[in-house]
Amino acid sequence: MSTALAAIAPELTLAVMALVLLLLAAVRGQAAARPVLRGGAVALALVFAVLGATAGAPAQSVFGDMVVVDVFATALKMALVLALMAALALSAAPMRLDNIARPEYPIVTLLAGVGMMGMVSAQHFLALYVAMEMQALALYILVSSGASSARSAEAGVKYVLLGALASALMLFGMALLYGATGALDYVTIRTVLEGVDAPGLTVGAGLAFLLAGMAFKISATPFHMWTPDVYAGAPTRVTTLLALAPKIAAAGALARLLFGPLEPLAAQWVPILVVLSVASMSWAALAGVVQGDLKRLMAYSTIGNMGYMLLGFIAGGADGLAAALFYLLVYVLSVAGVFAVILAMRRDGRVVTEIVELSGLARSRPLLAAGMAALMLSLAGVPPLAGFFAKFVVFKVLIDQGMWLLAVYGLLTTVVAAYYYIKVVKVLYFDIPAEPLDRAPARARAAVLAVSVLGVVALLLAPGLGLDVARVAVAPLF
Amino acid sequence: MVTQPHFLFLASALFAVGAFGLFWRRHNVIVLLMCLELMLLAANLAFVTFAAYAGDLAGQVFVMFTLTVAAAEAAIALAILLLFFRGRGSIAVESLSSLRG
Repeated sequence: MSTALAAIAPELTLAVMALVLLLLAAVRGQAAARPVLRGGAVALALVFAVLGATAGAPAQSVFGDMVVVDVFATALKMALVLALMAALALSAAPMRLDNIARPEYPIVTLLAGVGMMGMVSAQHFLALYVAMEMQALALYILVSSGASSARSAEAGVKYVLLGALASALMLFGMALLYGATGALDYVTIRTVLEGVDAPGLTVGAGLAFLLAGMAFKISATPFHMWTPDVYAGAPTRVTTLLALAPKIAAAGALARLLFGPLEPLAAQWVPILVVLSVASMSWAALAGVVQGDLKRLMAYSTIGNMGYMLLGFIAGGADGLAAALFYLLVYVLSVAGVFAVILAMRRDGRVVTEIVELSGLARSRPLLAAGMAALMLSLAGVPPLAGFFAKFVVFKVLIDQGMWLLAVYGLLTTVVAAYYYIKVVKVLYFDIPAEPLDRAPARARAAVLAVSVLGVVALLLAPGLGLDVARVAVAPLF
Repeated sequence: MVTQPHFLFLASALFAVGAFGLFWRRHNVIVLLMCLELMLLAANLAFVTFAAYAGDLAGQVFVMFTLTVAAAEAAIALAILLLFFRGRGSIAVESLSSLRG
């Protein structure tokens, strides 16, 4: 038992810290907002240290093989903790400016983090379901937490409805797979499925329902409908969190499913992923072009980029998954910086999110504009920035597998999508300057933006390093 | 004689009714929540059926967890809906339109 508890020390630390902070908030009330936020940051730093200390430990399955702790889980959890830290750090300034600093916000964020960390470690349908619901329920609350905003509540209603639909689909898929294989744990399911020559209707339907539910979570077309509305309606600090952490958790859970119990069904799921990926890339490229709101644009950017990430899954094998993971992490790194800029967009104390509000930002805030421009060019896939390298790696594994057509199609959609990223750069540098944005001191924002931009640029110096790390991380799955 | 396929047919039918209601008669968000609940319960029925006929307890235990989580989900969904109602004064599906999808 003690080894099991030691194995989940990071989750335990985070959960206990969240509860301690909750107690503090209950005793001190609204006055606890600042200490709780600091405490949340300390908790995440502590978890990161624990993860770092156990990173080299051999893989182990605990709690009756429900939870597995290996390099893949630890690596993704470290990425998750960093994403949560960035989101928390970025949330401090806007909440102070809007006078809505409340202790609940960091606490619910930490609880969502516990769920996300559980997702990447789950090796059993029950563990996956409970972890996924834990993060989803916390995120529903956060999305609707906008101060007295009807838009935020509307985003919350949409998120909760479509999120519950995704859970129902997934649950039905799990039930069918359970019926077909008689097991809930990944290892047994895989063994049973390997013995099946031609999967029957139950297995096929189960797979389809399960994948539909997962597609909701990573917002792949045609299950992306919630993404633009929720991104636009949620308070920007929450959109930041949504764009960073849940995608890492969902991709990790999806990788564990596809390359674990569902590996024997690869012939069935590859075509499904191809459809999801092609639809995401195409729809995001087309619909992104007409968006005027930066948060909405980032929603379509997420949809499209999840499509590119799925290309790595489709290519399959350790190389394909490593490429997908690398792509995801580069994407999350760039998006953190973009949201740092969006959170800086205030004029006369009001939050603005339209792209035109950035007009001529290069004159009044050259550094902010330069950072944003670098990130947009990276997202567009302009060499030699990290975004280019990430796309290159994904297309290369596809071509190595002989999937030329898909790679060429992906390339075409990046060209279309590049239009809207480069349009932002044009607005930043060449449009007639709008009224300057408010200046508010925000060290956290500057730090996140700096890390993001430097990361995206510095990958140029050691392009292979990130990919090597991704290869090591995915090794336990193969 | 009621056999496993009967139960599974019932589960699938309930699931389909829920899904159908979600996309067909969409006038009130509460009705949508009921449809979602129906879909969850259909999945639960499938779990229990498979578990009972395979003589395996795991599926039945799973249902206990799903029920608990579904209760939490319903509580949060209703709280958010209340918040929405306060701002908009309506819970009609058509009022969910200030953000266009």
